[in-house]
Amino acid sequence: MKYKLADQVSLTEVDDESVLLDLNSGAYYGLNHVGTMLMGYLHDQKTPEFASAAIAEQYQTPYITVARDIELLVQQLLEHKLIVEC
Amino acid sequence: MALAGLLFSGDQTELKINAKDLLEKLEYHGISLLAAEQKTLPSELKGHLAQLKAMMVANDKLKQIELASLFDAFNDQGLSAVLFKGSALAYSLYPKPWLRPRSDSDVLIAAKDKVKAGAVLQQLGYHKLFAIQGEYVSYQSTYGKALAGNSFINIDLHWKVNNRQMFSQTFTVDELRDYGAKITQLADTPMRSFASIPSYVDSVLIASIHRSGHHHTEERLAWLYDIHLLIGRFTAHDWQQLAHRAKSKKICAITLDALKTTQHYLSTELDATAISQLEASASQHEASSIFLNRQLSERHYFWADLKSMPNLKSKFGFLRESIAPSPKYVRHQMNTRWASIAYIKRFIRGLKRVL
Repeated sequence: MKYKLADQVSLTEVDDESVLLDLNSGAYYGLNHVGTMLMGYLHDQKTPEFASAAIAEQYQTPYITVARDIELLVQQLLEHKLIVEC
Repeated sequence: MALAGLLFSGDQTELKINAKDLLEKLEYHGISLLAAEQKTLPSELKGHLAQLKAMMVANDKLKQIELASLFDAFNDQGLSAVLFKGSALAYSLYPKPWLRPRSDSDVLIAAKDKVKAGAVLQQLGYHKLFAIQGEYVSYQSTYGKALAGNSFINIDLHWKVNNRQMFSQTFTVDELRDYGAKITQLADTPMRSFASIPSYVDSVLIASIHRSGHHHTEERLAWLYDIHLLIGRFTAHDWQQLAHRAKSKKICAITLDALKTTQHYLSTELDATAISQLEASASQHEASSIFLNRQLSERHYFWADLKSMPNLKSKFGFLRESIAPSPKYVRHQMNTRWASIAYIKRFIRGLKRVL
């Protein structure tokens, strides 16, 4: 499954972190470096699985650990309507 | 230079001991996030500063969108407006606009456009905030608007560049626009049209006026850091222009003081020739240099302001509006429904301030 930023959401990158802002509600969410990397992969039309593999490789961390965290983050972003399915 | 280190004299270990005090000072000086960028702050502040940064980034994004719409609407109406002070610097000088905190955005228009600009703001959903009004006692109105979430934007609409009589005529909107630049986006928010902003030279002069005239009893590092960054962009021609324009506006002493204070705190490199020229001009008496004396009471500044006004009509008008503003304003200010009581309370408070 591929995802993209919801229409009403802006993403501002700040160094290696980023802030997601829902322009309608004013709610905002700070993303750490890994969250920001995920958003970059989603922006490039990659799947969360692809992002997990790339991040796991970069951080020399077991894929399963990263994939679990990424899945959780994607669920939270979906729940808050910050990303939508493509 | 480590910004946080400037806030305490003595040894740097104090920064570790008094993290809470440090944070309060950083916030007072408007440099919390600037100092955080330098990564020299105690680790216990990291969580708070990360939250503050996310909030400032989000707030700034909402304000960018709002300001872009406002300037597009001004341009649609053929209104000449200049964005100046903090917001102009945030979007033209700072690497990230949220590093420059500000409680409002200052916009300068011509006095003849006051009603038209107010109508544009009201059409966009702004409400005029209650404040003293008159022909001479104030040259600005504040318009506020709630944005998404709990965000709020205030626009200070000025028809003179400063409320101090002595500095009110220093720049016109046409002059700032003609010498200045146009920006077509606010950070990463594109505009349909543009916003005019003052030149770096005029921004230094405005910062010097603001520091001396409006806040002559306080010193905030954020304002000095503005000057530090502005000067960092100066060319040789800009230095010449600074000395020339400060002289023509009779603000050499306060400009020199701002530059030297900035150099003292931030090790800013100054141009020796321009400084000599400013020193020579500052040694001639300039009425505005009274604001360098921070020990005087308000009546001295008021008197200097009054003397600087161009004719008797304006002097009397300013006196009348200062001593006896409208009953509506004075009732609101003194928090009473009785105008006579409000005037007495205001008179007593005024006496305490000037004596």
